[in-house]
Amino acid sequence: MRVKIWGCRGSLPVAMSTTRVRDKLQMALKTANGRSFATDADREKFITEELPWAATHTFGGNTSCVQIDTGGPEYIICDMGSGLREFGASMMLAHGPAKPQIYNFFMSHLHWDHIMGFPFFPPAYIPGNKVRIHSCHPDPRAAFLRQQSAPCFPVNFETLGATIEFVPMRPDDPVTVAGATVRALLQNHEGDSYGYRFKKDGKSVVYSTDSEHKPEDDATRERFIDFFRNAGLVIFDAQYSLAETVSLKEDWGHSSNISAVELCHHSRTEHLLLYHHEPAFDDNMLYRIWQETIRYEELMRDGGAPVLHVSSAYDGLEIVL
Amino acid sequence: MQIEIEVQGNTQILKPIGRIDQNTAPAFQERLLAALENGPDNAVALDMSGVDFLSSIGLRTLMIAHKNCQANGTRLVLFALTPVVREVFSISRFDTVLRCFDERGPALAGLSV
Repeated sequence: MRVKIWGCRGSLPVAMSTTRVRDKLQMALKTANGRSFATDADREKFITEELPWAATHTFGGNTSCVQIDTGGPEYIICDMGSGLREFGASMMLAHGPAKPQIYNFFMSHLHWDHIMGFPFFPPAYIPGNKVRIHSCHPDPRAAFLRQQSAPCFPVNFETLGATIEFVPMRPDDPVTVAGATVRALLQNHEGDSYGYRFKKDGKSVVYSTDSEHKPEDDATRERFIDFFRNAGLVIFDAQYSLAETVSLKEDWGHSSNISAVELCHHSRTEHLLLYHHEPAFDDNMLYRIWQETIRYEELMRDGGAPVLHVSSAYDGLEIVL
Repeated sequence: MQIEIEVQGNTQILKPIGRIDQNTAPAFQERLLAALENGPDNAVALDMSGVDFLSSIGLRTLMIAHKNCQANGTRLVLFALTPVVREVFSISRFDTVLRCFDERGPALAGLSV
């Protein structure tokens, strides 16, 4: 399986400011320290091998959208945040308007940041394409109708050209889609949210965003440990610090890097991907949180236990399992 | 879990020993919250020098204690955090919420501020 992040930001899309672009230029020029480079290849080598990660990357600003490629002709996408626009553009480049495709969406929930990309998803406008929206919520269609109707948007949902089907799903009642077995789990979030575990050829990816974990809730903790167990990759909502999740932002429906590491350790997850980044945080802060999480994993690991690989999602990141 | 208790006037000094995790947090919470029950005339200092690790449930206990203090006026400080626990406080941002001191003397003095 191959996972591609099209949107990793929580709550609201953001864009990098001019100030932050200049910060990166400063960092690059300081590191170069007056050196000159004869060729593009020399410059590329310097960028790749010598500049710090924060100078050459940005986490990006699109809201939740993750592609899970199972190797077959059908597509699987988790959520329809603003990152869906770029995924849709890539589909138009790859297939053009005349070659119908099947898109399977799995919805964590229907809050605005998770559906806002759909009106900007070009394949939805093209007859012949099939869009299947898998959801555990009772009436997902209502959210899409509301989003694409006056006065919110000029093109009504009902006029979209693709064949759009809402496929009801139930937690713990697995389905097979695009060659993968998919299981859902109820999560703690206002109005409910659902995590999904995708399994194919012995590899598993878990998409678990907009999910609050309370340290005192042992029963729920055990359910998640079971859901994550031996997963190759867990994509985990780590929007807040632990201090925030048990104080000011308790019951806001999100979790922390500390809970992420603990659940992944207990479930013997191989790779943790921090996700649903706080929109108020810039690249420097998100990079700091990533490094701190790597350190916490090291502190928390029992002697002899396998290392939990910790990454932080950025728009465009690809992970192959 | 083992918790040593020392009383100095209206201040209780609690010294938990070992890891505060899923197994030990309930006992730690019970003892800590009991110490915090007596209101604004009371103060509690947590000597953290014997705690070699603190997981999220232990941190949550400290947050409950902090909230109880805000509600009933009891004063709470921590001191002598081990390097690992200090790191955990920093990563979890608990260092922005709780009053932590390097040493016992300034911590006890801090209770009167």
